[in-house]
Amino acid sequence: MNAIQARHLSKHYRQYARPLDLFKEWLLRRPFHAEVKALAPIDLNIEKGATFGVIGDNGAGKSTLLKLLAGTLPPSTGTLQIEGRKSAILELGSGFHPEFSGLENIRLACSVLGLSAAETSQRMPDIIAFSELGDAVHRPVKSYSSGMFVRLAFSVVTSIEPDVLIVDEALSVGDALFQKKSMDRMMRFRDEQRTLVFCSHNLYQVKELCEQAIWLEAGVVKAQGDSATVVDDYQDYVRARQSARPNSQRVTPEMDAVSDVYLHEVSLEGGIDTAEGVPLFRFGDPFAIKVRAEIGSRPVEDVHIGLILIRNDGLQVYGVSTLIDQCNLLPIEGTTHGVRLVFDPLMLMSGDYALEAWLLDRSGLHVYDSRPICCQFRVRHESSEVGLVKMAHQWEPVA
Amino acid sequence: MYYAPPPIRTGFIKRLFKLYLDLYHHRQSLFLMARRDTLLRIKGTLLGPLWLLAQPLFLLLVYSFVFSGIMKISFRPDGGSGDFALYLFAALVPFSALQDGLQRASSSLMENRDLLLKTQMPAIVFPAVAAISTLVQELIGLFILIMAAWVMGYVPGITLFLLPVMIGLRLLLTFALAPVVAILSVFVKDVGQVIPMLMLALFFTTPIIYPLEMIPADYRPIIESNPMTWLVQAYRSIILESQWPVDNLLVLGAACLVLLGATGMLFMRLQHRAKDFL
Repeated sequence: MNAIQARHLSKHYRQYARPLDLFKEWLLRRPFHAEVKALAPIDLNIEKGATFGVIGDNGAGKSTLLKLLAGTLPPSTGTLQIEGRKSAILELGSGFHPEFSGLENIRLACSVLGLSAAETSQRMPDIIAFSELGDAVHRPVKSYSSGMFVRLAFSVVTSIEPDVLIVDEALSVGDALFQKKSMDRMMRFRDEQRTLVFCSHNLYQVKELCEQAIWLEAGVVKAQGDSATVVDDYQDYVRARQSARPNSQRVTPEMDAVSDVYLHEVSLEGGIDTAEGVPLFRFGDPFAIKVRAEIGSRPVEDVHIGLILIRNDGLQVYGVSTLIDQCNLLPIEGTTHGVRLVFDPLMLMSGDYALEAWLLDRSGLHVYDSRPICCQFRVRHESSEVGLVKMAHQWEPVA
Repeated sequence: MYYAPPPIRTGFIKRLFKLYLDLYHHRQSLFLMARRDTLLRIKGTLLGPLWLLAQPLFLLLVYSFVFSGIMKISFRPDGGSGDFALYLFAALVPFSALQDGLQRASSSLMENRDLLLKTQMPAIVFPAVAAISTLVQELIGLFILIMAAWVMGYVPGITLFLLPVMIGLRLLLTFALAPVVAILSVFVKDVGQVIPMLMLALFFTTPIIYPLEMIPADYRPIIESNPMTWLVQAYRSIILESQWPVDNLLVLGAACLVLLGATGMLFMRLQHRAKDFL
């Protein structure tokens, strides 16, 4: 059964340059506004008990979507159906007033969330305990530190127990200990088979907490589906954009114009073809790079191959050369020589990667030829580990 | 729950009813917010609740001096300055409550932007809070008025039991006007500037500092088309003259109903778009 069902849900705003335009439009019955599309039509089916993540850049329409789901913004088109009692945490401490005590603010905040006075009194001890405020609840909120403020606000909003909870970036608040507590509360919420819609910049949390996710970009759905896939795709995209060295603008080192020493082929072996034409490797698969080069009239000891694995944000993951490892290229036919660099198993974590290939002399200083960015490939790992590569490790008893 | 783009023409009465029913559902928040607004004005001040009355009391002194002391206006043939002050205050109390309510209403949606956009509170709650938070100030004013009247020989009659009805009507009138002021202020910030001027005009076209009888017959219809005239006259009849202002109550009740319908309709049509402007 679906807890949330949205059909063709969208939001656009009318933007008026001046207040006068509003009247002109009203009187002349002609549009005097710019239409701002905050969210293109979107279809959602969120099952009961599911956790659903919303990711994307700032201004991508995440908050708009959550506001539509929460019902605080009316949609421009489409319909929305929500089963059961819903509650939304779009902002912590909305309506808190600094002049009043924590206690009084709890009362009003609970009332705004739809609790009766009796329900509020019943939950009050829990709320105060969870917020860790102690006697400070009797002091005016203006005397609170920002940490105390968010703790109080979070305690209030999570004390309610709706069937559908919509949370907008509310988890990344407070000190580490409190973050843990609030995360636990979200987990418990999920385990109780309540429906959770969750938006966060913390992609790890989204990946861990949610089964399904949606990636919004400039108000349009870029990807929707299994949260691990969506988050990985988004991360690749973010890294590619952050890259300080865009692929096409790499400066190729000056080459010997008349050189007969050059790279013939750099290619990957294995991998699954994807729709984008980028081969996909799974973590733990064998991974090999094949390089062929013409060495011309040079002796084989004077030609070396260097390879660097680069993530799409420009980070060099690992680079090594036949020069460093003291080995030689092997003849294939005529002056064509080649070598395979094998990583088995592949220890890279999810991400988009590429290769940089260099053809060097024995000093390592002269560059015969190079391929700045080639052989793009993608890696996906299934586990919850994070980072760049898997590192050898073991867990040992503490002495 | 089911949300669709709001239908424009269907079931007007039903939707209007729902608009005001929302207030009932959120009555607890309404009460807490009105209490907070009232407390906020006196919190940490020396004189406390008296500040709620500072302005009307000050006006009372000034107007009594000017209009009774200098210009010799009186409400009753044999009335002195004290008598004038009582009649003036009986009208000033409800009027300043209404004025105050509308002034607050004009900024209510802007000030509660967070609650409006980030929680599920219906927008109508905020002008309603502005209207209700004038209640305490009016009650204190009326208490002082009745005590003073008693001291000066106006023994309160049985008509005083009608006072709660009167206060209710005054609240209803404030609440009937508040949503328009609130919603228009969102679209056009100038409304906040216009309100004090309109209130000044309303003040002088209501028989507050002069008796209704002083008005030339030609201008009577203007003054009588002002609901505030009926309101302040009713307060005076009940508190000072021990008379039953039946006509006034009927006129006011009808005016409130018409206004509630009209302003409610305007509010409903504009409230969703107002959110885009906040």
